[in-house]
Amino acid sequence: MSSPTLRAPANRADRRAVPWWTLQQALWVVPALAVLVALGVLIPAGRWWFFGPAIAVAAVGLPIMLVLPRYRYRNHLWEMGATAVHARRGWFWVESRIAPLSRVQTVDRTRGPLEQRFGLATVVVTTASSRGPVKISGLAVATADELAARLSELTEATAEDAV
Amino acid sequence: MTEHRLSRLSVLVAVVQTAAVVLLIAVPTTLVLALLWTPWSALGVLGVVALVVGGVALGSWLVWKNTSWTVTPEQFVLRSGVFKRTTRTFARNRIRAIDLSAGPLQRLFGLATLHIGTAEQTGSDGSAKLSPVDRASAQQLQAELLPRGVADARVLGRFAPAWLAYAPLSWVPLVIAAGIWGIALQFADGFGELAWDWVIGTAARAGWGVVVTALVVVPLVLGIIGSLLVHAELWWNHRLERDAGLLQVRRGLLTTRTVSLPEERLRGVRVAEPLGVRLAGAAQVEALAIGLKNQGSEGGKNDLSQSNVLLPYAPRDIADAVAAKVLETDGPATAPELLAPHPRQAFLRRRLRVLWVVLGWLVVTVPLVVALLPGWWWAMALGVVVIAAAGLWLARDGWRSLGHRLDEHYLVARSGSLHRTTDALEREAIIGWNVRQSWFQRRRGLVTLEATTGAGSGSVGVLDVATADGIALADAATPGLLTPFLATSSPVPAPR
Repeated sequence: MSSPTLRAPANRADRRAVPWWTLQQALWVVPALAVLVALGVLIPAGRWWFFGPAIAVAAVGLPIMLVLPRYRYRNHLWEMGATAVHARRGWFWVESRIAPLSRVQTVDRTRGPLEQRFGLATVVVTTASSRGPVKISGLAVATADELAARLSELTEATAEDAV
Repeated sequence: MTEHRLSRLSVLVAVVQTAAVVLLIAVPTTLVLALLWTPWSALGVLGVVALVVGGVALGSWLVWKNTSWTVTPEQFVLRSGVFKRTTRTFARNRIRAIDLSAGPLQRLFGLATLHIGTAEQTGSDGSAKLSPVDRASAQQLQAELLPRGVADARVLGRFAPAWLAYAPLSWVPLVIAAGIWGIALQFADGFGELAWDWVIGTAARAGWGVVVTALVVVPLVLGIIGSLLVHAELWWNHRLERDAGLLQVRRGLLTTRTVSLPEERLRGVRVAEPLGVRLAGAAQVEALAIGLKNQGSEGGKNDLSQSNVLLPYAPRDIADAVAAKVLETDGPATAPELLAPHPRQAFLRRRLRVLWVVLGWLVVTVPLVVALLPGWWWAMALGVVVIAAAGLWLARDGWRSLGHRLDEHYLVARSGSLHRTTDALEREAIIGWNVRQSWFQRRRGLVTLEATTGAGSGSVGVLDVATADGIALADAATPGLLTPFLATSSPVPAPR
């Protein structure tokens, strides 16, 4: 007898999310590496005090820059049903969040400066629970707008006292 | 609309309070100065005292003059502020809780402090504090602002002095002892070498046993006494009542408090058992409600004001009975016998964690012992034994503490070892679900569910339940919510 399990949501983030996430990580890895290497080169006396951490940063940061965005792209999934929204992230630690449209309090569509360059947006759906916000990032702007509009529309339609 | 003000006695109370404190400092100072310098310095001190008291009197008069409120059918409007005039408008149907408290000085003058809370879920605390207010006006305002039905006060639970015995069994004595230790260390730091020499000297004369006893036992004893005193001050004269659609908790010895919770805000109940208290067969009952501050007893155990506790540490069967009366269920919803146990895999998972802790201990102590303190290898070995034994006990206890039940109206979930909680949450209060599964849990066929809700700390957790049971539980608790997202095939996703 097969018992029901929670299947993975149907939709992925936009492809451009991968370079966006890569850039996000690069923004700390590259300057850190540059500074450490530069200091190491300029100050021969304390060379290994800088090259050591630089190697550590590279060993940790470069794999994160290269692997994390692709990992997120494969595992950040979302879906909107007729009565609820479902988002999932992660593979090693999977977290699925399901929120019913009738109890949604706010629907936010945000675009940070980096997101704007890539034509992406993030949609955050909050409910009365502080542990319950459903966050879907890396969406193409058009998809995000459509999703936010449909969410608001359906939330109005099924509105109850949202507590 | 009538405009109300703070009590006319507010200046007097402020002056009395300040004068008491200032005189406490001023009298010895005057004596010292008179002896060391000149008696005329007394005049100087008197002048300073007069200035300070005068300043406080002026300040509190200004606050009195500039604070007022009006109550309209829809709103509560508070005007305050001496330099920056502010008008705050509270929608009356947003007011979540009204709290009355009165310190000993306020009680003497027949006054009270009123706390009006409208805590929203965004986290910004929309609240107002009116102090001091005539006790009669405070009670009238409380009656006006909270929806009331037909008055018929019924006592649901009452503190029994014998329950004070449970106070030292909680974490409070350890917290107090740790605090004393901290202060002592700070002190010793200041004296440096002197302190160390003194310790060695005492040890030489009286033996190390005495020194260790003094350093460990004395703070613990002080911690126990402290916890007894604090618990008595918080819970003496405690009464839990249901009165016209309100749950009211009255308590307090020096500072009396009345916390009112409208029953529409109540979504469930939590029975909390810190380890020591649990081993003694007791528990405390907390409200799971919307918009209460101090959400969650984990935060509450160090925050001594605990405004969501309905019944302090009491024998377990009494706690269950009071919880049932609060929820108005036929039988105790939180009784342990009724909960379904979780798979043994959860125990294995916890047992593995003990291994990690032991390894961590070894990683830290082995280099220390090898490099610096070779004679202390026995302490390291002892540490391993103690950690393993305690850890295994906690692992097994943690597993046996897991349980859940779904009945017609409530989702009941229990977990925790050091601090075990049994949450009974109304099914209608469940908003959505967070389903978490780590790779390790996936291998063992376990999953952790969180029912998100607006009440309490935001969610009720069902930990380490068998995957199929967990999904079935979530589906049954909120029928139709999960259905579009379920599949009866293997959980490996096929990306589109």
